[in-house]
Amino acid sequence: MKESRAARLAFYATLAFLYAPIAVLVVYSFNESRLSAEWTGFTLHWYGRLFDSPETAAALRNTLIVSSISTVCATALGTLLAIGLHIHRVRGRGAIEMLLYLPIVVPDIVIGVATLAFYVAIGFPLGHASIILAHVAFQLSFVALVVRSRLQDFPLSIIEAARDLGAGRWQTFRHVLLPILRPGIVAGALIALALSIDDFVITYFTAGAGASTLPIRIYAMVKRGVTPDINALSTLMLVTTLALLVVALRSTRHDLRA
Amino acid sequence: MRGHAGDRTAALAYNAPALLYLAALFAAPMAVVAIYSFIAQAPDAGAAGRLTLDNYVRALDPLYLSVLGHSVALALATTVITLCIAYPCALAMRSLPPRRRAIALALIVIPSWMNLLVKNYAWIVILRREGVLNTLLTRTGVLDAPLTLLFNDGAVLLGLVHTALPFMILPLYAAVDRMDWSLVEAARDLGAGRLATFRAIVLPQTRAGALVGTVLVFIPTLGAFVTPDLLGGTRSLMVANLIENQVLQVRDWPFAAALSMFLIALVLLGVYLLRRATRDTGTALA
Amino acid sequence: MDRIGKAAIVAVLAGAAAVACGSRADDRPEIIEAHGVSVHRDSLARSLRLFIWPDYMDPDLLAEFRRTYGVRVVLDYYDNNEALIAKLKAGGLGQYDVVVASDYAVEVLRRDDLLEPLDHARIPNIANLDVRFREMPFDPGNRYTATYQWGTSGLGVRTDRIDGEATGLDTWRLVFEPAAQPGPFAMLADPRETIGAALIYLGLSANTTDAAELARAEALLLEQRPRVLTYAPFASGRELLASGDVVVAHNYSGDVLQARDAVAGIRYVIPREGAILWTDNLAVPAGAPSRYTAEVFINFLLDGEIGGRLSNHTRYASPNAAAWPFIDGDLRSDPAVYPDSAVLERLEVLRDVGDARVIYDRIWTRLRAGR
Repeated sequence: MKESRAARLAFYATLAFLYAPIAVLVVYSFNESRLSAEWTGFTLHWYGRLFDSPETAAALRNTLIVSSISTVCATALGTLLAIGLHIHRVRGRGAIEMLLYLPIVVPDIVIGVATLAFYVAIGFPLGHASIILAHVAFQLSFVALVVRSRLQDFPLSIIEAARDLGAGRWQTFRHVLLPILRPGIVAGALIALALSIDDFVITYFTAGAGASTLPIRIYAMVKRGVTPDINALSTLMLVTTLALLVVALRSTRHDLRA
Repeated sequence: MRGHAGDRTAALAYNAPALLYLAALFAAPMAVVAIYSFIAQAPDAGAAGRLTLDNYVRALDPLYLSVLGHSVALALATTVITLCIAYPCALAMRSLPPRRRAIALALIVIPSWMNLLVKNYAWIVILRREGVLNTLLTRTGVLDAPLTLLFNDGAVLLGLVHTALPFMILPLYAAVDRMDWSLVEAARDLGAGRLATFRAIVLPQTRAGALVGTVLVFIPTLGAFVTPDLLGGTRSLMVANLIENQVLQVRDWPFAAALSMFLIALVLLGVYLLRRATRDTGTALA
Repeated sequence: MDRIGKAAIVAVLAGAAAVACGSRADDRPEIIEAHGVSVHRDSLARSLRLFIWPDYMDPDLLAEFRRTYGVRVVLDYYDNNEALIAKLKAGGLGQYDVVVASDYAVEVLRRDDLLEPLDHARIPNIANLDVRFREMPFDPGNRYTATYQWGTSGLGVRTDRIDGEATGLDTWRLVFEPAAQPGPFAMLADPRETIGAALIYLGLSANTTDAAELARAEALLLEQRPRVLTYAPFASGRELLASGDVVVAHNYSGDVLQARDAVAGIRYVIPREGAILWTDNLAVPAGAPSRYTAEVFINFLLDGEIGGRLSNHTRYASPNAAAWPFIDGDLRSDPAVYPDSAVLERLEVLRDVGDARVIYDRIWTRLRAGR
């Protein structure tokens, strides 16, 4: 159906608006000049400086540790909950669903402050674990919702059929339920991973000494002044998250086909 | 499923771990905040153990209400602006051939995966005094001297809209896609103009999508921290910045807790209103 | 394809984990003799956590510390003393070996028993401190602290962006009086500093606990507020000055001088009405993972040559008498770094204000929230 030129223009303008800042960021990460917006030459110097910085290396290390552990935990817990909600229903399911939505709806600042207050109240030391525990709390909901939507699209008669044929609980779970859920689990896990890697506010409040993640490092760098190494770091982060997304999409499509 | 004694164990095994986790690491922290909001502040000690409504009374001071009001205003403005941009975009996307449509969708989704700090920093690079925009404008002679484009509501709004756009466009596109386009064609055949068709047919039919988009934009924007912190100045404070200041600088936990409760209340109110509106259109949210 | 993709992710994660857990062979002698003290290698921790202001430490010195003692120093940052105190009180104890706290912050921390006493036997270089810094009001006899750097809080001015004379700039009127304001300006995002500046401009003490006086300061600040571009942490303020977003920045001496390296037209002025003189002090927080390593580090920093190199890097004034010969000539003769006695008379040191802190906090919160 033909749509007005104006709408088309609006769309292209919107795309430009969405991508222009990023493009600027990436382009200037290769700019030789430190201070001005004048293009003085192409260089990889700023990327090199990233590798020389022990704090950036530490931030990268922390991000990988925290996000991978939290994603694994959240995926496990979230998947179990999704199955529980959809298949093994308990009373008070409505209330549980509301509880599930809360970590998504409640603003990050409140979650961050609340979690910190909680840790201090029970004397829990801040470090890597404090971040991981906080992340799982919100990743869980996302995983559960994604896996549950996958469950909703699938006829559960297969499970009943398997049980009727004599399959045990564990067998049904492992050989029937899990393969059905796999695309949802993978999608949920990758969403959770991306959310954890990118999280700033909650991590800001719950990180312990030396446990700063990449977003916190970027924030600290930005507060101290605009330098192209921030551009370089940002570009690398963008590329990584995009790569993750692409892998996510590809693998879900494969699984769906299989 | 059939009722078995074993099924109850299964139900427990599946549901309990996650629920216990949420109880310990979400519900409990929220409860701590709620409790703190009713405790009197002691200087340097965080809280003094005396129950009081003082923190809420203080939070009702017009000064702090205006910060809440300012946050609501910015969130509303962001919602309205993204809505106005999203409609033409969604319609334009729908009018593309199917292959290009998928690409367009992907292009809209990708920015939503980009790190928030990176996106805000990009705006700093563009808007700062020695940034790209100022350099361009002074070099081409449009400006005599660079302007200070950061540290005001405009910059914050720009950052908020930039972050929120994909979340408004996507649900709206989904709604536009599900529409009954035969109605539009019929209207056109009967001679109705574009605007009339839009108002009478497209708007009502896509209302659910617009509402979903509103939820996805308004709620997170209300609690925004990074954008006003990096792009805003003294006058652009939003609630989240005030709360952070109270916790990490002033150390007035009870007051921060009261402010947080206000923010949660606003958020829940927003969710409630939007759910009611969605139920009216007969479509379920997520 | 998806299997390859997943394998790639696992490989990357595994590789990163491997990099993270590297190990080194130990080639340090059992007793390390350096900087006037014998250190037992096995009593040292592998890493030392330092909580400090950003851009306040020379990375070369940390590298040297590592070479000598085999201890890796890990830095964490805070923007102002309030954040330091808040962090230590909210789960921060037991996380840091050494913190750098300003004068009144030391008083607050001591009052709440958050500092470990220093063992002077392990810090012989403490004798290097100039006699003025051995009997500070917040810690006479250096029982808990050793001064790190000192400086003043004044105004950084872009003399190259201001019309007219570059004289008569040493006044708070530049930021408090609309008629004297040369352009956009930033104030420090620090309650004691900014409220203190207002109090000093009004001829009052920056340590007052009198409610009426504080009300006057608040009125002045609220009146100033619409003209303030932003309340910036010192590092951001420094950047704003260098980029020209502001022509005046309320900031610390050394940071303005650091900005001067980038932009020649920047001058640091100590207002004639008075200003705050602050000292930053090394201290060991309660529950520090390794007090032994912390004290070795403090002793290292108090070495004369190290102290000189430190001050050359930070552009701040050194409290270390033994460091004087190692400090750059142009810094030694710069009145912005080492003010003469006439100026020193006008400077005030911040003290803890005790319970009046609530009044200061309320003023600050109202200032931040106002429109």
